[in-house]
Amino acid sequence: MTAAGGRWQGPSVVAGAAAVILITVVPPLIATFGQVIGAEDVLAPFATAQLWLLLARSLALAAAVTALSLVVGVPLGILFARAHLPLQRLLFAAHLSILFLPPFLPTLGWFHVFGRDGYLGGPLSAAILFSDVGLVLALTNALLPAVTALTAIGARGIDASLEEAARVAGGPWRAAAFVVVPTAAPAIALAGVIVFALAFSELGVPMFLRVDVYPELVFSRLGGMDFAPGEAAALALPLVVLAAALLWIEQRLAGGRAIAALGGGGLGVRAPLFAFRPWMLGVGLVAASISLAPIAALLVHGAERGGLLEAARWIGAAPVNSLLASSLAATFMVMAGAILGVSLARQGIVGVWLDRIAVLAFVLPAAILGVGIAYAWNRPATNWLYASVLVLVVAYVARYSALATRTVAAAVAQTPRSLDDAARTVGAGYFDRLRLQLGMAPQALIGAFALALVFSLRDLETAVLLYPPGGEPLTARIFTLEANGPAGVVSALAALHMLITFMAVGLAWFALRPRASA
Amino acid sequence: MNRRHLLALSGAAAAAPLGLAGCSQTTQDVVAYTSVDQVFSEPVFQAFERQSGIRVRAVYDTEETKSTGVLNRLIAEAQNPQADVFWSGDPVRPFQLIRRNLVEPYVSPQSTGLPDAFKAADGTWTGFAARARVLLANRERVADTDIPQSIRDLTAPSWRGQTAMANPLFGTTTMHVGALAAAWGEAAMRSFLTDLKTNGVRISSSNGEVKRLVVAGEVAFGLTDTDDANEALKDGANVAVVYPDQDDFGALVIPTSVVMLRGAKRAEAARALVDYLLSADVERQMAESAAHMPLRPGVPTPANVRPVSDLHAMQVDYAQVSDQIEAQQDWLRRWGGL
Repeated sequence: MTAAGGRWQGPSVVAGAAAVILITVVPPLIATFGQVIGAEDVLAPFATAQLWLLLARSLALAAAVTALSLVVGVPLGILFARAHLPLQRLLFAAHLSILFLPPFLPTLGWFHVFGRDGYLGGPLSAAILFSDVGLVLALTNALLPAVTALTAIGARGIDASLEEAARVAGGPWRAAAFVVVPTAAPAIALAGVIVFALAFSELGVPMFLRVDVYPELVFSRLGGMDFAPGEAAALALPLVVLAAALLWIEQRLAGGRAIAALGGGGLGVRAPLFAFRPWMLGVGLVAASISLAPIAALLVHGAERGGLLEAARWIGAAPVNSLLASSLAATFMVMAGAILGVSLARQGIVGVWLDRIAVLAFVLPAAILGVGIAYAWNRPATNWLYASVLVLVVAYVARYSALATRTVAAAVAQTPRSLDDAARTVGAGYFDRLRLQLGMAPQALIGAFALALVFSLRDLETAVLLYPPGGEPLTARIFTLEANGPAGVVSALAALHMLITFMAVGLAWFALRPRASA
Repeated sequence: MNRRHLLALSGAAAAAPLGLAGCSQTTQDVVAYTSVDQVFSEPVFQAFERQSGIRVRAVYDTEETKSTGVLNRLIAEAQNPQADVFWSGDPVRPFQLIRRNLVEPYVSPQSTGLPDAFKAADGTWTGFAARARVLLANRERVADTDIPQSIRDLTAPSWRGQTAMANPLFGTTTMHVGALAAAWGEAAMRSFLTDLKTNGVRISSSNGEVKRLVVAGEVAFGLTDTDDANEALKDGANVAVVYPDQDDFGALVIPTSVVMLRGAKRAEAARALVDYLLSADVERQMAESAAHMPLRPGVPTPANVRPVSDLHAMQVDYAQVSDQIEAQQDWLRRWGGL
């Protein structure tokens, strides 16, 4: 590589990564918000108090889910990452399993448990389930593992010597409170943003539990009889403000953190911060059980009514469609995210601005983004994309690229910038410095790929609007079969979906895991 | 990121064309969008594939968005139509497409045996295999002597907070509200819905959800469709199915309907699929699997479903119902708090 070639290496690679985000995210946003122009009376709903009350109510519910998830998930993440307990990996995997499903399915499982005629149900439990409290608990149950997982990733990336010094000086609890949690703050803040955005934009669970939320207002303009994308886009305008607010809050909580914390290695490399205590096993068992309980209820309910054995008849090519689209999307997301995440962590202007756009796409209701993708890509010239599985790849990248980029950024933000400066000083090229920074955060790529893959696999609300004819992913098939389909089939397909996700994440971990020679 | 990571990721990206090769289209394909439950429609498509050798690439609706999900997708895709055939769960959605000039009229030779009331003479839409709107009551919560006989019972104070119906912005409930507006007049329909709200009717996300709430005893009874009620009976639920208002204005009958779409890229295969869907064989399949009432004389009606000929059906003009649905949307959204 000549000196001139090396000078352009970085900008070229960043431009390539930026193109992935720009091509997938920007056209649907332009198409969506372009609908506002020319539409009549699109701003009229904003004159009603009802709209603002609904928005405030949705924000409050999402805030409650986020607060509860953080209060429970942060200690749980540290426990799973920095304590030693029997069956640790098994319990952690069981705890994460619920994250692999669209939230509606575990909520349906809780209905079989706590509905009026549920296994443990009665009028009181049913009244609680079908209420704001029930909605907050159901969504916290479904989204809590995102906090646990990201906290665990953040806690494992901390400099072992810092943690050890704090432990010797103040004991494990003070070390956790004053070193581990602050150092993992970027990951925890990211988890908070993810949970808030997902809780706010969730549609299936509130509709099932009969709790009115703002996304239903938007959806009513797209899923009702008077198809009005202009009105829907106008109603989504407050979400632009919401996305900006989330970014600002996250920046306040975690941005510019100066703690230098050189990643000391992954799981099992260093001694646990907390010695084993029996109660820890109890906490781990409860965390795993609460995730597994609604899934088990679904399976039992399905088995009682027969039909589990019928699943093979109904599965079709859905798992292949899911895996193909999701793995491709996750690959693109992590390739772009590795580059843009480093840029974001170092406050590079390209990384920062693309992150803002990607976060907006993540916060928008899926239906808005889906219609935008249809308008942007359903043209004769791009029919090869729109009518193939690639449209799902575009949809997943558009919706979830923020997750991959921000996971990398959160990990890289924990590493000292001085090392990158030193490498630059001695003339290291862009790729060498990129490798150095990602190498100091070995969990970043695995975490980014796993998150991108899991969220693409579990996506329902974007995919169901866009999947190519004959190419439905597994989540869409579960939901279309849910209408009058045998209960056992829905349960069996949900279980299969979890199994596929575990296997896909396991394979990704095997391919991307850090090795001693790396 | 080291070389191995780059290789792994690039390999995955490079595998894309291999996977996409499996998605390529052939001339012996037909693309069908349907709001008929997948559990019922997919076996029909598979039977067509076996008989014709034409592969059906389908898009199905979810219960929550039925039947507007695929309908709105058809409208959103109008600039570059993807679908060749739309098999609708009701006869009013096709009018949304007809108004937008998205329908290619096709009078199928198979439509000759179907009653004129359930098809358009110009072939823009043809109805077959029908459902009806029914009341589904939980026998553990409702004594046999108290089982409701009219949809007006949903507004009875004695049932306050104990009933359910689906959101009228979606699905067949939209059509039911439109039919009531056409039959009773706008003011009476709105008064009825206001009374429902006052009486604490639970608005669920779908008719399937109404069935689930009734079966689980969350509510005493609810308004749903015959296919959902039939699934409850098949599951052995202790429920009663009532065809409402048989001594009054009648029960709403909802035929499924099929339309061919303008700009169909696979027109010949599309006509073959439409012909097949309108055959007596499909009405028989839908009767057996989904408890749909055959409209064609001579096709046996399932034992747990009343024949259309024995039913006092609401007299409705489906085009007028479609007009009413559009006219009432704003008011319905406000009624629903949206």
